[in-house]
Amino acid sequence: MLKPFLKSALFWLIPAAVFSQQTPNMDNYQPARSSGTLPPDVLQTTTEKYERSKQQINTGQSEELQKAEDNFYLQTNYAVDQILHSGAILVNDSMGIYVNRVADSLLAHDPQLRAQINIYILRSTVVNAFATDRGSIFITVGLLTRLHNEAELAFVLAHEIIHFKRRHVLTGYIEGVQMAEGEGKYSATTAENRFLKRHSYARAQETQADEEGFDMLVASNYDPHAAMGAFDILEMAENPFTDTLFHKSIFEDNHFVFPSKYYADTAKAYKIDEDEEDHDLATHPSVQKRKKNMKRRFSKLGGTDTTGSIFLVSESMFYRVRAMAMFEEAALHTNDGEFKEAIYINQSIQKVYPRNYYLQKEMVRAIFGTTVKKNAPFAFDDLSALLEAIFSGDIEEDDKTDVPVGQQARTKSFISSSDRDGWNVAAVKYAWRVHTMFPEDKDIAFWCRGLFRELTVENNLTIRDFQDNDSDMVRIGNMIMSDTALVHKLKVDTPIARWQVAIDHLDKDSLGATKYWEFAFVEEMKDSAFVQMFKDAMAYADSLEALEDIEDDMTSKQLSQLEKEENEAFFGPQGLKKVVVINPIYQSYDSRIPNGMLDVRKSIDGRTQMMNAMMESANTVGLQCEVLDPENMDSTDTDRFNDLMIFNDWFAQKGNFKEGDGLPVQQEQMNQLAAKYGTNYFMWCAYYTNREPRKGTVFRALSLAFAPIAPLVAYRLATPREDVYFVSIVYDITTGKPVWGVQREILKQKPTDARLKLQMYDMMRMLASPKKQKS
Amino acid sequence: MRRIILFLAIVTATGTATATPIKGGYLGKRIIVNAEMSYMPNYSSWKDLFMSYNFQYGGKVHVVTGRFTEIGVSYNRYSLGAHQRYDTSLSNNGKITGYQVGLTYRKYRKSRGGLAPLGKFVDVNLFYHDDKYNVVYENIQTFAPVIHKSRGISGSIGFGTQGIFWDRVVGNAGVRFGGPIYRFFEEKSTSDIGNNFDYMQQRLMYKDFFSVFFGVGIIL
Repeated sequence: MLKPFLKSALFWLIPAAVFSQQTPNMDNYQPARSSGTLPPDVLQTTTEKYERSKQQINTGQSEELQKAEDNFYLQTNYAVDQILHSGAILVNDSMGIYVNRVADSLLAHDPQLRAQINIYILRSTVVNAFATDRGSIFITVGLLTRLHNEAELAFVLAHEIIHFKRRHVLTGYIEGVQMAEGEGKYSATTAENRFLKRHSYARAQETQADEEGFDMLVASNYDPHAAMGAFDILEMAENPFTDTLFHKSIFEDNHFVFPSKYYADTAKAYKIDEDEEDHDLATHPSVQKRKKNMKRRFSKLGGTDTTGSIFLVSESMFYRVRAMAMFEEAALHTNDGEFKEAIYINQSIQKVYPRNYYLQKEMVRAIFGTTVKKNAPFAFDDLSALLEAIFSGDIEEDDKTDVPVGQQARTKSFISSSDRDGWNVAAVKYAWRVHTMFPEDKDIAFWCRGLFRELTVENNLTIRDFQDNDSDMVRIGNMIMSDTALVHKLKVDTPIARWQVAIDHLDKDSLGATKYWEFAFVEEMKDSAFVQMFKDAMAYADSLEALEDIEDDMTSKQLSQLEKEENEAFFGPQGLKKVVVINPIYQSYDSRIPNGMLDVRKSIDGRTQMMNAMMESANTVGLQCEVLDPENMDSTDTDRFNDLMIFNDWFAQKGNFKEGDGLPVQQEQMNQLAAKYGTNYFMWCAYYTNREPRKGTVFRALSLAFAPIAPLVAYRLATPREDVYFVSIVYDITTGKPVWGVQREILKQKPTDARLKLQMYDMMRMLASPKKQKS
Repeated sequence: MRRIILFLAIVTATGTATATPIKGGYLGKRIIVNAEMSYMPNYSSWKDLFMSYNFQYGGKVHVVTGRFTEIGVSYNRYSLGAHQRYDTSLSNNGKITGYQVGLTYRKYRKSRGGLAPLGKFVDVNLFYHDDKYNVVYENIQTFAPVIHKSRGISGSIGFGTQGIFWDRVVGNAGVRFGGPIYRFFEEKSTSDIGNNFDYMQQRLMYKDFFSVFFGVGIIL
C-alpha cells in the first residue's frame, strides 16, 4: 500500500528540490518565439515534400505496396505540414536550440544521420515526443517541463531517432495496410487476430526504439540511468509536472476569505499504474514492462558504460530551458481554455518566482478566463444547442470533488465549488493587486476592467454591495468568542481568522444578510482609481440595461426590423481596404477513402487554388489581401511566422468563448499587430467538401421509366452526392468582435473550381463594396 | 413585333447598365449567351405521352444583375407534330410551328448555395408567342391552304441548376412548368373541314405545361 505513495512522493520531491535550487533568473521572461531563418521544412509546400519523398519508394516491391507507400508519403507529409504550418511549433527558439544541441551530442558519431534530423518544440501541454519519416522530431513543451536532467532528454531523443532511422512510421503504415487487406502474414488469420497482431507489431517497434535508443545513450556518454527517469516521466504523464500545495489563501487577505467548505481538506497523492501486462490494443508496451526491459539491458552493461554524465551540453541551459517550458505551459493552458490548470501551474511556479511579471500577468489572464466561463449563463434553447455548448466548452466542467487526487485537482475543485459572486470578487481583488504592481501594462488593466464588468453585468453587484469599513466584520467575528466550541477552531486570533470561523460556522441569523465577500474591497476602496473603475463598470451595466429596456419596449415588428438591419449590416458590404487571411483551411472528404476519409491530394490542391482565387478576386475588386501562411513566406519571414502563431492562438481562444464574452487575449499585442499589418481586419476561413453515395437509389431507378427526366435521373444514379461547406469570419482584432461572416451549406452541388472561385470572389467583393448607410 | 424587339433591347441595355463591375457575377463577367433546347411530352394521347416529344430550341442572352439574380431575353422556335386521324378516309399530318420571345428573371437559390451565375436557380419566364398551324390532309384536296394562326402571352416557372466549365462555358439543365396566360389574336382558316383549330389550341395549351431543358452558353 505504501509503496506507490512513497514512489510518487519521491518522484515529486526530487524535481521540487532541484526546482528550488536551480532557479534561473526569469525576471524579464518574454514568451517563446521563433528566431533566425525559417527552415525548408516549414517553407516547402506539401506537394514539394511529397514529390521528394516519393523518390524513396522501393520499386522492387509489389505494386500494391508501392501504392501504399506512395499514399503514406502523401498522407504523412500532409499531416506533418498541418503541424508545421499552423504556428504550433517554435523554430530556432532557445528551447529548440538547446534540444538540437543535445541531439548533436547524441549523434556526434553519426553526422550523416544528424543532418537528416530537425527537432522542433511543439507548443502543447501534452507530454509527448514523436518522429516522422522525414526526420522531423517534435518534442512538446509539456515533456520539457517534466525532465529532471539532460540525459533524460537525450534518451527521449534517442528513442525517436531510432524510430526515424528504422523507418518505423512507414513500416507501421505498410503493416496496417497489409492488415486491412489481409495480405502477407495477415493472410491466414481472422480480422480480430489481424488487429491484435498489428498492435503487437507496433509494440515491438517501441521496444526496438527503447533498446537501440538506450544503446545510443550509452554510446554518447550520457548516464544510462536516465532511461529509467524518462519512463518515470511517462508513468506520470497524465499528471501536472508538479504537485505543489495549493491553498485558497492566494486569493485572500485581511478582509476577504472564502468559506472553508470550498477548499478540500486533503488531497490524495498520485498513483502509479504498476500493471506490467500489455493491453492487446495498446500501441506501446506497458511502462513497467519497458522499465523492466531497460533494467535487463542495463544489467548487461559493464565497465565505464554504467556511468556517464547527466549533463553534456549545459546544466545551466537545461534548467533555464525547463523553467521556460514551465512558464510556457502556464500560458498554453490558458490558450487552450484550461484556466484552472493554468491557475494551478502558475501558483506553483510563483512559489519560486513570486513577483514575476510574466507569471502575474498570465495569472490574471487565467483568472479572467475562469471568471468569464463561470459566469456564462446556462441558457440553451434545445438539446442540440446544449450538446453544442458542451462540446464547444461553453459549459464549465464541474470539477467538484471531496477528495481530490493531487493538488491540481484540489485547485480545480476549489474553483468549481466557489460561488460566482465570491469568485468574481476574488478575481477582481487579484487582478487589481497585479494592476497596481504593473500599472503600465494595458492588458492587465483591460482584464481588470473586464472583471469589474463581469461583476456588475453578470453578477449584478454594485459598489453599494460592499462595505468601506470592516466594523461589521469585526463585530460578527467577535460573536464566536462567546462560543467555546468555536473559539477552539481559531488557529490564530486575528479579526480575519475570527471572520473565517464565523462564516464557516455561524448560522444565517447570526450573520444577518452579510455576505462573506462584503468586506473584500475595504482596502481597495481607499484607492480612487479602483472606485472609478468600479463605477465605470456600473455605468456600463446601466447602459446595457437601458439598451435592454429599449428593446423590451419595441414591438415585435420593430425588433424583427432591427434584427434584419443587423443581419444585413453583418452579412452585407463592409467597405474594407485590406484584409489579412490567416492559414486558410481547405479539406476534402470522401466516404470511399478509409482512415479518416480525408482526400489529401484534393485537400492540398484545393488549398492552393483557394489561396490563388482569394488573391485574384481581391485584386479584381480592389481589396488589399494578404494570406498569412508559411506557403507564402520565405526564410526571412520569421516575424510573420511568429505573428501566425499569435493569430492562431487568438482564433483558438475565440472558439472557446461565446460571442459577447470577454476574451483572455493580450489585446495590446493584437493592437500592435493591427498597426503592423495596416488593418484591423483578419479573416478565418474554411472550405470543406464532402463526397458520399447518394441515397434513394431504388426510387431513382424507378424514375428512369419517365423518359423526359431520364437523363437527369441517370446522371444522379451514376454520380455520388457532393456537398460544399464554406465558412468565413472577419474579426476586428482591436475589438475582438466579428464584423462580417458568411456560412454556406451548398448541398448536393459539385465542388467545382468555378464554385470555389465564385465564393472567393463574392466574399472579397462583399468585403470591398462600400458599406450601406443605416436607415 | 418591332415594338417588342425594341422593348427587349431596352431591357437588355438597362440590365447591362445595372451590372456595374462591383455588382458583377462570375468574377466580373456579366453577360451570358446561351443556346437552349427543351423538350416536352405530347399530351395528345397516352401513347403520345410516352412516345412522342416536342422540341423547342433557341437562344438567350442573360445579364447578371446581382449576387443572386439574372435577367435575360430569349428567342425560341418550336415545331409540334400535329397528327390527327379522324376516320378511315381522313387524316391530318400537319405541324404547329412558331416562335416566342421572352423575358426571364432568374433567382439563384441562396439557401441551396447558389450564387449568380452558378448553382441551383428558380426562373420566371414571360413569353410572347406567335403560332401557325399548317394543316395537311393526306387523302383529300382542299381548295385553299389550311393555316390557323394565333398569338398570345404565356408564362412558365423553371427549376434548374447551372455549372461553369473552363471559366467560360456554362451548362444548365432543369425543368419548367407553365402555360398560356392570354391569347389576343386568333385567325381560323375558313377552308378547314375538321376541328383542327380546337386541336391547335389544345396542343398549345399544354406545350409549356411541363418541359425539360438543357442549355450551353458562353460567358462574355
